[in-house]
Amino acid sequence: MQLLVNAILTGGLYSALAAGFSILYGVMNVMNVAHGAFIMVGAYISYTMFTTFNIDPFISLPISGLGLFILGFIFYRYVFKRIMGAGIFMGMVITYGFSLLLENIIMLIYSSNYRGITTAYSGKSFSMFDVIIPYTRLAIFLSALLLTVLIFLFMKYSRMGKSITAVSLNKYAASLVGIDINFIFNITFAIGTGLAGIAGGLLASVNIIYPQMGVSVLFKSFVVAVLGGLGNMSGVLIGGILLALFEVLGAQILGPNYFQLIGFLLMVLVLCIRPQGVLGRKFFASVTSKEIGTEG
Amino acid sequence: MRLFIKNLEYAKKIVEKYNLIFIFLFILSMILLPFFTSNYIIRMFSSIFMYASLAVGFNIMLGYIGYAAFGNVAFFGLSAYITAILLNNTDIPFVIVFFIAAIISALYAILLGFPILRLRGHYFAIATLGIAEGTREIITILRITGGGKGISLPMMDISINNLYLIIYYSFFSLIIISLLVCYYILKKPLGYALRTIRGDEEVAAGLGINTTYYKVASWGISAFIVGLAGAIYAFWMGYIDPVSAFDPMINVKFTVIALLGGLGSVVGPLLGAFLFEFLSVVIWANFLDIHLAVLGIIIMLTIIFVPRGIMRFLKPQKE
Repeated sequence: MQLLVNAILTGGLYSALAAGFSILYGVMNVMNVAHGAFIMVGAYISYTMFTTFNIDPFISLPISGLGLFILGFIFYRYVFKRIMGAGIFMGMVITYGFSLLLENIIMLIYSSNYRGITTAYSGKSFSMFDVIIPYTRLAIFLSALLLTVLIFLFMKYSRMGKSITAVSLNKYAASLVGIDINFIFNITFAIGTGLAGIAGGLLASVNIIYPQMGVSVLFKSFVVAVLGGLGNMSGVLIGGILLALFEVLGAQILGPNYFQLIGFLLMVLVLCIRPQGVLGRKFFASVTSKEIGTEG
Repeated sequence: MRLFIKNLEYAKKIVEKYNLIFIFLFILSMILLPFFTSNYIIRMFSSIFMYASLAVGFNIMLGYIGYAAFGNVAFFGLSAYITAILLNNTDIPFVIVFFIAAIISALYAILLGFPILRLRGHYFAIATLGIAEGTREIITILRITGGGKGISLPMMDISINNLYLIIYYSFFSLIIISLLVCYYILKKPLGYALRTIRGDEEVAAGLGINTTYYKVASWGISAFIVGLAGAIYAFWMGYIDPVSAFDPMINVKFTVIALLGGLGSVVGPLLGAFLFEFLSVVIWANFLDIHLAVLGIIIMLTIIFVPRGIMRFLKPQKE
């Protein structure tokens, strides 16, 4: 029971990590390898807010989000736009280059020491039905849940969200009805990185942070996004909880050494058997850039 | 696609006519190089040849059949570990050990290839990254590999100069062999099959090409080359641990080198490796603090301004 609750709480964090990654893949068919670095920058913004201005990490979430939103907007506008449509691998490599740049900048500013945020309530917990629930973890889970609901509402009801959905379904049809695709891509990229910033803020409140943390975070979001179905935005919550569940169970049965391995094995297995994600429908997986290209 | 074939025809013509002399001069100068320079230069050239052969392995996958095998570092590390274990526990001569390690890597790739190579595009790229990380985790968990604290190789009973010479010539013959293999692949029906798969896999299957067989075979070849490089690397370093043998930076370097040299070309990776390594040395020497940032900027500039690689500038463009 305790394990289950732990898994669900950790799963919330995982899904927050993968949300931005998944949205970029779903709408733009772009694999943002710099996602981990964006999360890292978000975590450092949160850290700076806490140490210099004494702002609680949960309150500074919008600041991290906004900062990364602007960073992503600029990066897309001046760099990434040039290679849109130049092939999917170019996108992977260019974002990797950008992540190296970000990592180095953060390293120069903060040095590569391990850092962490310690609030008055961190480490405290309450118990309910013999299950111990730490406050921070619960708050993270609730924030992640709120974030998912917000994204869902945004996609479903706002004009911008509807346009984004339209572009993700069919670029050419969307441009025919008067949607500025380039602007939508720009906004989507910025939303993706903004979500990474928020996830970074959440991560900073429980984990230690360091400039090279991007890579491990990136792999976590890979696994979660694949489990939930690549590009399937509502799948990330399921994917996150599933990954956390398997990790906890695997570590319990096989031993803590296997903690990392389980995620990767699970990912490769899911990719081979159900590329559309564990609960995903075939639809999202089948819309590749190639197929859209032949329609247009 | 048509442009590519035309370029290929042109490249063939060049090689057949006057570039043969140039290639011969290059090989001769590289063979004679160690007798005129310091150990530092020899080390640098060894590392250039190593990354060039890794880039050739990557190029076979992404350049010829369009599958981004970003996880090729898995075979590099695996082969390095097999070399270390065999040299520690048996009396097999090191040259044979290299080949055993490379063959095991190739078999590993073939085994994984049957399920993994059915995936396309991003899915394949992510799966290979997962395999690289997963292999590293397995190596870390196993007891025979020394786990996270790494494994040392037995010291050879020769002078350091001779060791460097052995390493240099091993890497040099590796890059020559792998370039010959690439040239051979492109000329033979295998090359046409691979390029048809890159163009359109459904069409290739419709034409009666056994796509799975060709994809798995070329991944095997790619893993063999990468594995040989990994084996020689382990022998060179004398000590390997999971972090250095499966370093994601190795992955990044050979990807960038392959892109810099030009995907789908034969000698592109070698030229790319020369350019990249010289740039790295210059960056290391001048901007130690921000070398990662400079590297990142170089990667981004490469993608934006020379996405098809420097080989494109060396050949006259015919429209």
